[in-house]
Amino acid sequence: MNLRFIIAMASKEFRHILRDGQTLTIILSLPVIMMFLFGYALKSEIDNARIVLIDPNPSPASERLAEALDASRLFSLVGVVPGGNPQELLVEYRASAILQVEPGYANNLQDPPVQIGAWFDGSDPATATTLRNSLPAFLRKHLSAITGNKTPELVSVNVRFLFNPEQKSALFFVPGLMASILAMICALLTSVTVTKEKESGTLANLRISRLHSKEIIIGKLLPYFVIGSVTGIFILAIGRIAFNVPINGSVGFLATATAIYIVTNLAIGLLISTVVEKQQHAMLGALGITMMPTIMLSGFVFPIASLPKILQYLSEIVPATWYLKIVRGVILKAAESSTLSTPILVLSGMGFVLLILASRRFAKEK
Amino acid sequence: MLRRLLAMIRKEFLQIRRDKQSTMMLFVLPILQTMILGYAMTRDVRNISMGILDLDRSPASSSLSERLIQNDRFVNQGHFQSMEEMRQALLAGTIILGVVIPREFALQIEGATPDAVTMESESPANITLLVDGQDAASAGTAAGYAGAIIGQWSLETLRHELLAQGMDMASLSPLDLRDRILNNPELEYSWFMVPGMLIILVTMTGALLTSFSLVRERENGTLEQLLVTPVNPIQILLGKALPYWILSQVTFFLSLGIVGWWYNIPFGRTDFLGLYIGIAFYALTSVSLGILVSTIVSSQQQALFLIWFFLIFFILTSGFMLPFESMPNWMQNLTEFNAVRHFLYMVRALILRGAPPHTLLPEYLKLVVIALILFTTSVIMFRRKAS
Repeated sequence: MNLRFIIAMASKEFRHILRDGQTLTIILSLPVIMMFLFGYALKSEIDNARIVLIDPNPSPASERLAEALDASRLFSLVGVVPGGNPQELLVEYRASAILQVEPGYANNLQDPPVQIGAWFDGSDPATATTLRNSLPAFLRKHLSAITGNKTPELVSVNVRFLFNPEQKSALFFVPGLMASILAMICALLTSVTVTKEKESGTLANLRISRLHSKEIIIGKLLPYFVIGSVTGIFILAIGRIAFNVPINGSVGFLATATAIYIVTNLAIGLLISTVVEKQQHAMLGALGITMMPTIMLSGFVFPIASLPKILQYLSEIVPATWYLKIVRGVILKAAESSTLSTPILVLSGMGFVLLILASRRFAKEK
Repeated sequence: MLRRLLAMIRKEFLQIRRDKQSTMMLFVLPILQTMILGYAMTRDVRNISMGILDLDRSPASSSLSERLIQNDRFVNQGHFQSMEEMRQALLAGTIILGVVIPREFALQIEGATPDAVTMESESPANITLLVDGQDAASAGTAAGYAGAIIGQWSLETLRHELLAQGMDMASLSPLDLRDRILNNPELEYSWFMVPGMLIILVTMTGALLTSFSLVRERENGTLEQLLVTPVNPIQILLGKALPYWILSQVTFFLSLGIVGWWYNIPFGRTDFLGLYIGIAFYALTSVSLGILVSTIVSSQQQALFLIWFFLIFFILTSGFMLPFESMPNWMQNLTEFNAVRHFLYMVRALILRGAPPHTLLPEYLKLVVIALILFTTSVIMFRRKAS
């Protein structure tokens, strides 16, 4: 291997990247926009669910219930109607739930229990589950406050959230975005570089040059490794400055893991580019292989333990799963390197195998 | 005029048919992914690894632990001996929920049971739940389930104690709630998620393929050749747009059929004409996006990045994975321009809620306006570029 050749190859590739300002702008602005979206506009908790109250006989007491519903963070009262079919009301008011009080609600308050009917729109299961779990406690509290009639409690439950006591969502999305954005960008970019040379016929030029296939690979991957690292640092820096996400654990360990993760995804991109002939296919393949699995199977959006068994096994071959464990461990738990030895070993193994596979195939092609 | 247009369309279809690898990447792969990953898309929390620290070791505390262990949402990882041991397990991630039952739990329960005569009681026993809060939403759900089971246990114990004193529980409870779930009684998450996945698929077909095919002709120089033929720019544009417009609609219904059958989505109440009008205009939107992008980029790679960038933004703010109502008002207003949001709402309402199309008039209007504006803009941009 000749270092001069590698540097020449890398600087040629760098020039390609810099000349395409549009792509570079998109790559660097994507993490910024995603972080601000998640930071200021998107939440996974349910708020302001639309609810309609069927009140056949309005009274001061039922109006107080309506006010309490509207005032709560969870609900937003969008209508009070004297009657109607719940199914039709759901559609008409675009509501998530319908609540119905009896005509004699005010009188029943003096003589409990009070009967209340509730219909939830199951077409959105997440909202339906949350509302169904929280409505009984909400109503019981409201009724107790009004009637002064309280169910005695034997046990009170006190919940403490560890590692994220204030329930800041930034602590959840910063690691997730690290894993998914790095995977998409790295795999996508490398998958194109080789296929582009194939399409324009310049791969044949490289083939007859004195460059060894290892030198070509390292030279080609180096610039994208730099872009990946810059993106990673970018995400962590925005997290630190704008959303106050600290790195509690070892920065060196996180940097090592990130470097391995970037190489793994570069290898995936390279492998794809050796299999297909056209840029278009390479890009679609890279997106298809990285985007959905890193978002859905890594534990970023959907908890792994809740997945069906087969998908749990499948999630173990997704590099992002292991990387996410490391990032969350270091950022949130200040976990020591020893507790994260399994994830980092698995990740390194994956990166190594993929890199060998990709360079073998590339050498054969050359 | 029409003959030239038809010739253009035929040429495009021939090219599509010849490109087998693209068909694989754009139809087979996404449909297969939807069929597998649909099962992953659940915000419900199951198999919660739990540990119990019972400091009381009384009949009452073991009855409560037994109740938690027996619930199939939890996977018990054993009884812990000390707080320190439990913290270590939480740190290592072997459990994500720790239940701490305090010393003198049984005594406190006894004290909290109201006296049959005076109805007076002492403060309740306090149970602490330690939850791994890395994923705020699922941590909250897990704690909610544990809280509900503990509450249920507490209620039953109370009823039992009161019965022993000869009292009826019903007189103490102020609420009799009767709830039902409509539209999706089994709360299948896949039914909710699949429409969004299909919309991503259709957008990919419409926008990506259209812009790829235009940019490729420009890269190869064949677009200039076309421009000097008697075919005028509008015919070229329509010849490019129509095949992908039709293809998007076919893709939508085909994949809806396959994936819907796979997940047993009920189509009994769906108004298919309403659905067809929706997809016709949505497909026009995505094809127009493809044309528009093709006029501002210079390579296929740029086209992909730009469309991918738009798509991620549109999908995230559409209510696909994260609840729409939880977004702040300024963001909700901004998404009025987001065609994915309107079409997604429409598809979910038509299929899952069996909504009649006339109730979705605002969505139809907004979608039509967005589609026409985008299409007009893309035609103007294309003509300017062509001349």
